[in-house]
Amino acid sequence: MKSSIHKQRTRIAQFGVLLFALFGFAELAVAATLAADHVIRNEVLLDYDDASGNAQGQQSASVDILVNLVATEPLLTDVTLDTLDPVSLNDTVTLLFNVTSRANGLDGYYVTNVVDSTTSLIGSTTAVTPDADAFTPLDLGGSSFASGTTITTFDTAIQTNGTTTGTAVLVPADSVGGGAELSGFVVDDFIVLAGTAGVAGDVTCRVNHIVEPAALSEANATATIYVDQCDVASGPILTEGDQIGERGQISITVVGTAVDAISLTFDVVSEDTPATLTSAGPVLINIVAVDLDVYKFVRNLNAANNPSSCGTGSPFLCLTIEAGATDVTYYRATSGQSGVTVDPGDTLEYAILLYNNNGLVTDVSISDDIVLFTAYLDDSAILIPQAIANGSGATCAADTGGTCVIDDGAGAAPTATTVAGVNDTTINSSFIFFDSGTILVSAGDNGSGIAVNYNGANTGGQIAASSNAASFENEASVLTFQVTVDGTP
Amino acid sequence: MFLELLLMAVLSPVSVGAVADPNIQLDMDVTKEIVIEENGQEVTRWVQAEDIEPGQKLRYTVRYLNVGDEPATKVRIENPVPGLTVYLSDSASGEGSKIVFSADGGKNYGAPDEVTYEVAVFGGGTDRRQANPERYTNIRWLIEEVLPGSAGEVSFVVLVQ
Repeated sequence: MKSSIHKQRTRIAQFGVLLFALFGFAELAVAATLAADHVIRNEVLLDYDDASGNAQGQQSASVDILVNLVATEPLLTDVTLDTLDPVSLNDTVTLLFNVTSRANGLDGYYVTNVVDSTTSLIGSTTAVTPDADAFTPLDLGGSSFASGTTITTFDTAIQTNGTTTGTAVLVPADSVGGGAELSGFVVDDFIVLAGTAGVAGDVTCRVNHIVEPAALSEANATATIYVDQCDVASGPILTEGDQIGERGQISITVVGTAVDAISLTFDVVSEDTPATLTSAGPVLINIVAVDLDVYKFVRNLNAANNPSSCGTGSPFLCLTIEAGATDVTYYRATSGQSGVTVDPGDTLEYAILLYNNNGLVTDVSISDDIVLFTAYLDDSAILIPQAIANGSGATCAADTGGTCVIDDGAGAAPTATTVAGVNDTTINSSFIFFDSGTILVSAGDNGSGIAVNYNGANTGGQIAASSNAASFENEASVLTFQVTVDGTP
Repeated sequence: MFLELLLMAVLSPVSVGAVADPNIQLDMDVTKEIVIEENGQEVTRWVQAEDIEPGQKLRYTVRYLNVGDEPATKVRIENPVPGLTVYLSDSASGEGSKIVFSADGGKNYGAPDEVTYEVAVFGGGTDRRQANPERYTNIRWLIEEVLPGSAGEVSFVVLVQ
């Protein structure tokens, strides 16, 4: 079936090129309606009498005309990135978008002309490199509602393939093959039923069955497409001549190979007539070098040994973790002592803050030696995998002095993971582990493996890109644990 | 195509006087309208058509030739407007013929100002309303007489949806 279509389309394409040369782009921009490969048969009948009024035998003649594919600009919608901007240097980013056919039959659509402002990115080695898959044509069908069709309700249920259930959509028959393929549609395709496919008021459904007349009866005939899983049950009134276009998805995979701000635009063109295209963008992609800071704070559970206020220095000298009624504050100094003092037997609580300035950070792990003259307090390790660090008047990293506040992004306590049974002799956690006096942690979010720092076979967690810098917020992860100071109080 | 009809006339058995009857041979061809550029000007041309694109115009031409040796009378040529095409107003022609139209699938025919179609009306029942050319479903040419050896043609134009 495909090869016969191809032969026909090759001939049509040649004619199309000629037409393009004659008419220019505007002529091809008209959205087509009557389905390609439909056969219009005109039959004329003649009756007459002889001179005596005796009826003579009826004569007839007929002629067939094949409807050509008219390449039409596809609709591009829902252009999205699979990750938040900015993205980290050398990370892979996928740009996804829907392509909906507005042609009157099967055509392929592919990406071309990927540009950053005015610079082509195709083959670029300094900015982004589009993935080759984006240039492979995506075949999409197209047709229109046949005469006498008016649909106001749509089946939203899931029907069995190959049954005459769901909503029946009457379309012109094509002269290609049997019922398995019709105007480029096959079972399980998603098609957009609309006066203008892809705009407000359209209906997207799945094809579950196609019924076409026998090949010899296809001229002037209609076929039926049964659809289900429609995204609306009622609403638009669809009738004769309204467009039906298949919807598919194309992705552009890009890899940022240099720190840059990309303003990406691209074209999606018709395989049949590459001059017929739709442009999309710009999509802004900021490629940044990752920049993760680590800070260590401490507090004494014996509050009398904590300083009365944060010291001065740059950037922040205190860390406060939202904890509901009683927030917890930790201290540090840019040099020298933190201001926290201890008595023998006191319990100290350390907080290790991982603060993301730029880009998605992955495979994050922490190792920290338990210092001399202290002992790890069993079961005290707590990991806050992902939280928001709020600066006051600037991002925490840019604040001079003051306090960096850790919360869930809405002023409440962040989600914390407490793991029982973590001690310096037993492996009890999936992400916190002790090895000869060193605490090892798969920090960040979604880390795995007890031995990320132990045997290198597992993965650390990730900390998202700092997407809220404009409101002085950055993504962060915090590990706290307690030690007891040797001696007796 | 018309040469074929003439050839049939020459070779037809009736031409040697075997049977004394009217015998009309019928043929049809189709052309499409294209616009080409000539000397910087856009020019409309009609070319033989095997395929078409939505929005283009098709002209159907029906040719007839009486290869019999008696006149044919009350000649009626009837052509439904092909599906998914629309009749183009005032495009039907046929020298020496009366042209009538139908908007109800060929049940009723009339001159353009007499062509009606039936619609359902509020409250029940139906009403007949005058049809504009886009609603025409059938075209009929009525020719009083076609003499032996004489020929003619009728034509009309449709717009492909």
